[in-house]
Formats: sequence, C-alpha cells, structure tokens
Amino acid sequence: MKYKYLLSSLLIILVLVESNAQNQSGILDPKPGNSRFLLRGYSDATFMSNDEETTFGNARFVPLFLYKQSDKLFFEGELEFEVEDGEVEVALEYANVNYSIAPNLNLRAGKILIPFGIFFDRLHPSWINRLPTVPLGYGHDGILPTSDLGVEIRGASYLRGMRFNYSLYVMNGPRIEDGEDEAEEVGMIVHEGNEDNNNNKAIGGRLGVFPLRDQSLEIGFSAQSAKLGNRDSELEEVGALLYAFDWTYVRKVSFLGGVIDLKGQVNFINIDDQTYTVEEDSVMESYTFDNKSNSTFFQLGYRPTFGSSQFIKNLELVGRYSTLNTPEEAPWESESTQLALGLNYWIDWRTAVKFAYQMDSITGGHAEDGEEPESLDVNTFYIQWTIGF
Amino acid sequence: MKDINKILLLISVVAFTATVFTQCASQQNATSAESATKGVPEYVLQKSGAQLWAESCIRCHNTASPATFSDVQWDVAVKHMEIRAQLTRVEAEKVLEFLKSAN
Ligand code: HEC
Repeated sequence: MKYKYLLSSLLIILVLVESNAQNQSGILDPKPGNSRFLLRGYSDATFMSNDEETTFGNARFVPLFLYKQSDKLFFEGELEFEVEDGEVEVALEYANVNYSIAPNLNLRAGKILIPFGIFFDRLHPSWINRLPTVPLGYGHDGILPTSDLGVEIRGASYLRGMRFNYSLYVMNGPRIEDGEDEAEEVGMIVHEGNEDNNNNKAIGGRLGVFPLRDQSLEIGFSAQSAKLGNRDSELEEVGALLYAFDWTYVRKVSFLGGVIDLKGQVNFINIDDQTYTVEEDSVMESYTFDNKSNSTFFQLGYRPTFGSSQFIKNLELVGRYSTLNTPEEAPWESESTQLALGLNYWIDWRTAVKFAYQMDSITGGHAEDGEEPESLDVNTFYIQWTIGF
Repeated sequence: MKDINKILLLISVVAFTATVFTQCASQQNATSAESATKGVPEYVLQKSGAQLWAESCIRCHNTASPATFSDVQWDVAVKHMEIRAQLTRVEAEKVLEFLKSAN
C-alpha cells in the first residue's frame, strides 16, 4: 500500500514541476539535432587452468545503448551475450530511463544495477575490473544484490563544503530459498529472481562522502531492507537487512612513482530467525540457524607512471583478498577465502590483457547431512583479454 | 528487525520527499545556470575542467583522453557519467567543456 502512495506522490510532483518548467522554457521539446544516440560496449574472453580443467572458459559481448533525448531525458540499456558451457546466454544487464528532475537530482526507473556498495554498480565490467574474476559473494550462489527492477533517485551534491553522493531505491527485491527445489539451500537469499514473489518491496540506498577536496577518497555506506518470502507462504514475513561499507582511494603517489588504487567493500546479510522445514529423501528435516552471512573484498592496484618506458607505464599490479562466510549450522554453511594476484597490460584505457593467479580455499558448501564439512583448495591461472569500444 | 525495517522506510521516505521539495523549490527560484552553482563550494568553482577531469575520471576506471570522442559523443558520454558516476552538475558541465575544447 505504502508504495502506491510513494510512487503516486512522486509522479504528481514530477508532473507539476515539469509543467512549470515547460512554461518557462519548453525544455523537454526534442529539437531536431538535439537528441543523440551512442552505441558502445565491451567484450572479453577468458582462459583458465587448474588441477581439474584447462579451458577457454567463456566469452562475452556486451553492447551498450545510450540515448540522450534532451538535457533531462536519458536512456541506458545493456545486453549481455555470453558463451558458457557451449550455449549462448542472453541477459538484460540493465535498461532504464533517467529523468533529471533538477541539477544533482536524477530519477531512474526500469532495470537498474543496484548501488549496494561499489563493486556491481561501478566495477564489474571487465574493462573496469582489475582482475579476470569477481570477489566472493557475487556470481553463482551470490548473496549480494546485483540488479533489479524498480525506481531510484540518485545524484551528488555538497554539504558544508564536502562532496557527497546518494542513492535511494525501491525495487522488487530478493526472495528466500524455501527448500522445495533445493533442500540444501534452504534459507539462502536469492537476488536475481525471475519474477516478483511478493508485494513487499526492497528499500535501500547508499551514501558516499568525500572527506578530501581532491576526491581521492570516498567512503560509502549502503543498506537494504526487504521481506523475502513468497506471497501467502509460511516464510512471507521473513525479513532481511543488508548493509555494507565501501571505500575508494585513488591517487598518484610521487614517492611510489605511480597511481595507487585501493578499493574494498564489507557486506553483512542478516535474515530474521526462522525454523525451516524441508523434505529430504522423504523425511521431514527442520533447520534452525542464525541466518547471518558476510563477505568482504580488499583490493590494491599499482600503476607505474615513472620513467620514459611506455611499456612499464602500461603495466599494472593488482592484489585482491576476499572472504565469504555463510551461517553456521545451515546446510550451506561455508567459509571461503580467496587471494588473487594479477598483472595487467593496458593497450588502451579500455583494452587490456590480464594475467592472474587465484588461490581459493573453501570449507563447507553443500555438505551432506551429518558429514563434516569438507575443505578444498583450488589454485587457478587465468588469462583474459578485454576490449571496450 | 521489524522496527529497523520501519525506521529505514521512514528515513527513506522523509529524506526523499525533503530532497525533492527543497530541490524543486530552489529550482523554481533560479535559472538553470544559477541553480547548478547554488550551494557549490568556492574551491570547486575555482577548479578548471581539466583539473576536475584529472581528479574525477580516474576514480573508477582509467581516464579517457579527450581525443577518445567527438563533441557530440562526449555530450552523451558525460551525461551518462553524470548519472551513473554521480557527478555534480557543475563538474559535468566543466569536464564536458574541457573535453570538447581539447579533443
Ligand atoms: C563512480 C565511478 C565512475 C566515475 C567517477 C567515472 N566513470 Fe566513466 N564509467 C563508469 C562505469 C561503471 C562505466 C561503464 C558503463 C557500463 O558499461 O555499464 C563507465 C563508462 C564510461 C565511458 C564509456 C561510455 C559509456 O558512457 O559507458 C566513458 C567514455 C566514461 N566512462 C568516461 C568518464 C569520464 C569522462 C569521467 C569523469 C568525468 C568518468 N567516466 C568517471 C564509472 C565511472
């Protein structure tokens, strides 16, 4: 109910403001030659090798469509074509229309990359990501929000001389694994739902502050709250509160002769207490656990700027440490750490060849009933090329 | 948890309405050029487009040189960044002007 009021009042305000603005300057009239279309995107392919497999993993082609109708109306849409396990998968990364209500205040609606922390919204495209892989917590069985359908307001401004940016959104929101299809995943949060499973909407936002005047440091806080259960199910009222801290520090440091790039994010996923009952091999099993997960990543990059050799200036060294912990006593209890070390060669600002060595250590995961969680160490070598165009 | 949810919802709604109203009010009292610089600290106004480009465009990805695009393409790309990368209007205008003058 509350969403109806929120959305209707928003629309009414918009229409009022807009009709007023049109009286003043007719700002929305698309004049010939003012509207502009831009087709860009990126592509990548990855080779990987470890004890189990050596393969030309996957390749992607990601076209990006941008359309600026006027100073106020803008569209961004991105498709992703990916070859994985011999099949081409097509996904709509995002597609949203942006209305600039006022300077520093934008309203977006559609499919949006969720600004929960910085990784997915800003860093995941392969020409931006410093490593061929993503930190723990994203990807298959990811516990972190990526993209969703909804509305968002976002922008940046100054408060008492300090720059800040903000985002507030209402989205369809995540759901919870009820154990019917996958008993061993019961209680897990699922972000990329195919359809909206309830009337509750996820509400969240992010605030970033820039304590230094040269914008080199940004510290962000994000939160999201939602109910997860299916409509009219036992789990309908189960809620989740997610929050995250992130930081970015990018600066040329003269005594190190290069640009230092420090980025990271710490995430907490807290789901209400609940006893889950699932059928396993025709026996009803019940699970009660403290449904709290967390994940982190800490990344450091160094790009030399000293000397006259262009070859050296095109190099970049990167290290990223990442962790993921899922709830104790859950059938999907796990503890993982990951260390990735990389060397990149930048041919252009958006074109690179990346070499990386990644050490994953995983305890648990989908352990069978009563068994001690198993430990697994996997070391993988990656080569990825990426090109932005 | 339920209380936290309600508090969060309340904060979001209040912050949202407050921003919309204050922004709209200030918008109506000023021309668009004025409202873009309203409340912008002096040290930002004094920065050149080139300086803002150097400071800001390196935070997420490698910096694009002005030669990457034509004027018309920069128009769209910088608007995209104003939204996606949360640039302030003043920054976006200054950076765009610099990129167009240096490509
Ligand atoms: C907060 C992070 C961030 C900052 C700061 C940033 N960018 Fe970007 N930029 C991105 C992301 C993310 C993309 C990729 C969009 C996609 O493919 O989804 C991008 C893409 C681009 C592109 C490719 C075309 C496009 O629009 O997608 C250009 C050109 C670009 N940025 C220029 C700039 C310039 C110029 C600045 C400085 C004013 C800047 N960027 C600052 C995050 C940022």
